[in-house]
Amino acid sequence: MNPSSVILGIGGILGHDANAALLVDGRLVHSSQEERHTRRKHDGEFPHLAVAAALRSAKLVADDVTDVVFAEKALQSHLFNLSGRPAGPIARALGHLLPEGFSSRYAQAARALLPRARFQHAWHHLSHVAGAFHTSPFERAAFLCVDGKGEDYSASMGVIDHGEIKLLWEQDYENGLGMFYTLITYYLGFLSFGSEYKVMGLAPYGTPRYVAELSRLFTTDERGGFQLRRPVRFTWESLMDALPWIATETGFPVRGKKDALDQRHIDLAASLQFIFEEELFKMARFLRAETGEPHVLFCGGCAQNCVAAGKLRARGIFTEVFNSPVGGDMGSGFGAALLRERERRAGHPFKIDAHGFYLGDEPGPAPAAAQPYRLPYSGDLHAFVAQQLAAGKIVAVVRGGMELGARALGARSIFADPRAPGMQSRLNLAVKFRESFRPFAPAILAERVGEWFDSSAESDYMNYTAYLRPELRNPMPADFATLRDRLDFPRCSIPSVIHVDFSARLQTVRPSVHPDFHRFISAFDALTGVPILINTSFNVSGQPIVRTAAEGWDCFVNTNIDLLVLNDEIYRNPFDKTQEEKLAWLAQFAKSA
Amino acid sequence: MARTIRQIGLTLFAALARLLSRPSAPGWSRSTRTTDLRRR
Repeated sequence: MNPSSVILGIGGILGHDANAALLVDGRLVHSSQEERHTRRKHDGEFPHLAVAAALRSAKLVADDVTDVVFAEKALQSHLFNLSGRPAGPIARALGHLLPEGFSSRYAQAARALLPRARFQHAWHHLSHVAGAFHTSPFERAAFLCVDGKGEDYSASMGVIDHGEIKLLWEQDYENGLGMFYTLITYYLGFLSFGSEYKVMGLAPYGTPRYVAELSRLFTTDERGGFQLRRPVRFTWESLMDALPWIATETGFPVRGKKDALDQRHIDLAASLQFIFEEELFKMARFLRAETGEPHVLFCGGCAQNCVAAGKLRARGIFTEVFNSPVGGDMGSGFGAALLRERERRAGHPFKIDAHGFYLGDEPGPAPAAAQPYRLPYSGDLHAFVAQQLAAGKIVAVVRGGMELGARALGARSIFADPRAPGMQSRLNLAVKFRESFRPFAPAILAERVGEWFDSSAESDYMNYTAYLRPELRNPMPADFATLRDRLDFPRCSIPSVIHVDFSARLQTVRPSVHPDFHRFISAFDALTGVPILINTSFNVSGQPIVRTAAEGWDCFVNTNIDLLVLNDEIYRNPFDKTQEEKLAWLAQFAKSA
Repeated sequence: MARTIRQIGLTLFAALARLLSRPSAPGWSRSTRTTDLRRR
C-alpha cells in the first residue's frame, strides 16, 4: 500500500552542508549529507544524491513524495545577503505574494525532480529546534538557537511544545556570537570551513589572558545581547578584511595556516572559549527568566561546542539541558521535515525514533581488492576485535547504516585502546594526519560512566563534555612550558581521551541506542576492565567520513590503520603503498583540511 | 558589457533589497516571525 505522507526535508540553501531526510507516514527512514555521496566536504550543492539515497532506502520513487520542506527561507536569505539588513514587513509579505515560478535555484532543482510534491519553507532556526525537540525527552521546553547565520538573524529563543512554537526574541544580524567564534578561528590560522572545533580543542591548553583585548571587539549586555563593533559579513572577503582589526586589538599578527602555534595563540583560543561560554550563560539566564521553563533545548551551529554545552548543563541555570544530537546544519533537513509532520499531526504529541542516528546507507560489499587480505578469525567478532585493540592495534569499522552528522558513532569509526601511551599522537599524525594537539573522544558504556566521570548524564552523541573523576587524575606539573610537554604527560590511565584540563568529549553508549558499538566496548571491558574505547571518525583530515565499503578500503590502505572491519569480515592492511602514493592520495583533501 | 549589465542589475537589486529591509536592533529584540511554512 502506498504511504499517505512522504515528507522530504532538504537543507543547504545557505550554501553548505546540504542534506536530505525522509519521513514516511511519520517514520524516519533515511537522512544523509550530500558530502558523503559527492566526497566534497561540506558540499552545499542541491543534494541530488542524498535525495536519491533516501528514496532508494524507502523503496519509493520521486512521484511518491507528497511534501518537500526546505530548511531555510531562500527569499529572506537572499534579501539579507543583498542588503545586509533584516527583512522589513514588505519583504516578509513578498514571501507570500511572489509567484511560485520565482524561486531559488534549490527549489527549481527540487521541482524538476519531484513534480507532484507540495513545497514549503521553514525558518532555518525552527528546523534546528524541531530536530532537537522531537528527539528530546521533553514534552515542552525553552529553546536557545545560536549559529553563524540563519536567513537574517544569528540567535533566537522561545518555547516549543507539541502544539505550537513561540519565537520570543532574536538577534537580527549576522555579526553575533557565532561569527565572533568564526572570525577568531580564522585569525588563528584555521581557515577551512567549520574549523571552530579545532579552537575549542586548543583552548584547554591555554589561560584566558586576552579576554580584555577581545572584549574591545564587541558590545554586549546582561542578556548576552552580543554584537561585533564592525559590520562583518559571512563572506570570505569580509572575514579576511576584518583580521587586521583583530591583530590591532590583540597586539600580535594574524597566524598563517602553516605557522607554528605559540602560547599567544593558545591563550587567545582559551580567551575566546571563555567569552563564548560567559555570553551563552547570560543568554540562558535571560531565557530562563523570560519563560520560566525548567528544560532547555540548545541547538544551532554553536551547539556543536560540546564544552560549552557540558558547562551549560553543569551550571544549573536550567534543570535539564538537551543538546541537539546532530549539531550544525547537517540535520537541518531532518528538522524541516519534522515541522511539516507537526502540521500533519495537528498538535498530537509525537517523538521520533532516530535509530541512534544511523540513518544513512549500508556499506555494501567489500571490494575485490580486499579479498586477499581477509583475516580468518574464530568465535565472536567483537571479542576478536577487542583482543586486537588491547594488543595496541588500531581498528577501523564500517558496519550498518551510516551516521548522520559530523560525528562517527561506531558505524564509520576508528577504534583504539585509550590506555596506550602515545596513542593520541600516533592517531593524529600517522592515521588522521591532523594537528597533534587534537584530543579524541572516549566512548564509554553508559552504565559505567559514573565510575570514571563527574557526570552520569547521557551524552549519546558526543554532545557534552564531562570531567575525569578527581581520584583518577595525576596532577600536571606547574612548570611545563610547551604544548608538547603537556600533551605527553601521563595525566591518567586513559591519557588519549582525556584533555589536559581532564575534560573529555564523551559518547555514552547504551545497548538500546548503539547496540553493535556497545558489544565492542563490552568485549574490551571484559578483557581489560576498562569500559572505554577511543572513537574517532573514519576519515583523514579534510575528507568526508567514509560511506561505502569501497571508500573504507581506500582510506584504510592509505593510512596506518592496522585492521578493518567491513560488515562481518576483518581485513589486515597490506601496507603496500609508498609514502609518495599516500601523500598524493592525501593531497586531494588538503584544501578542506 | 555583460559584466557591466550584471553589475548594474545587482546594484539595483541591492538597492531594492535595502528598501525592503529595516535596520537591525542591537542585542535581543522581540521576534515578529510567524512560524508559517508557506511563506518563502
